[in-house]
Amino acid sequence: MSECKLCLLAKHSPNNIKTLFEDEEIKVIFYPTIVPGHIAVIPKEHFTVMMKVPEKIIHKIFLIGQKFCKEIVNETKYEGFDLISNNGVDQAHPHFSLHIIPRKKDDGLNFKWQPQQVDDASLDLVLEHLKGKVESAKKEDEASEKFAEYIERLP
Amino acid sequence: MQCIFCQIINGNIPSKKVFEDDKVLAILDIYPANIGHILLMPKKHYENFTDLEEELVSHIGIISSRLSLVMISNLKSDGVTAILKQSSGSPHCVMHLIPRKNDDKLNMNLQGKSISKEDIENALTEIRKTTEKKEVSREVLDNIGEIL
Repeated sequence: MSECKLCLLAKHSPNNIKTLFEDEEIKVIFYPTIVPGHIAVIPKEHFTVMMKVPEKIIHKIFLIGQKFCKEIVNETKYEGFDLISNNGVDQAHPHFSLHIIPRKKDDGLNFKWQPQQVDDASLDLVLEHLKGKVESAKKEDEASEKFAEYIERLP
Repeated sequence: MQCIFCQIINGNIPSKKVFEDDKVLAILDIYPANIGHILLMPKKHYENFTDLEEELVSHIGIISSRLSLVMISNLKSDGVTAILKQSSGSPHCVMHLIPRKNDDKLNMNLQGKSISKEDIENALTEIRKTTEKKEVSREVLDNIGEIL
């Protein structure tokens, strides 16, 4: 099986990919697949989805991500940005990545959705499935025993 | 008039709370992209993600990850899209956590646009102008599509 492309980019710095920041755990790469200024923040270690990434790495990825967001807002002509991470669906590579997509009003991108009309009883049912579960989802970096089986089922 | 999200946080507007601590509130979106769509927001009023202090940025990342795990395990979703838009004029910084199904009709795909080499070159120059300013070589531009 061929190696994950983002692992290759994390470990190596091919001449044709621009690295904007890196340290021992994460790398920020210029990733122009959807708009010209598109940036991706990735962990160097292979984690398929956000839910598998240790929290100390999540911490760093979001902080560095925010720094680049600030740079886009303060230093470029873009009018804003979308911060997006697809986990499990619409994910181009099986390697967690946080994407910063600089936006302009006329860029033609459409990360909008059609709001659904959902009845109150259905929302309450969903709420019952979610409420009170977050505290036990992770303790420090380790998933609690309760969630271990779900983590194993993740891609 | 107070921002609608602040009114939800203050309890002036009722909401379906999924999670709350001293820093953030997570509620169900009553007009969801998919049912189970969560809105995660700082309790203090910030319009922009870029204005959040570091501790809050990190906390939103970590709680997003934990909520996503709960969504995967309890809603039987195939995935989660986390999206924060500082481009849509939202009055309050909100992270959307959207439970996904493989066959849902949402389009959050980040691949497949054809971007001109000039546009890439201009964007890279612009983004790097406060750091290290470098031109993108022709070779880079010729190969970039194959790498990603």
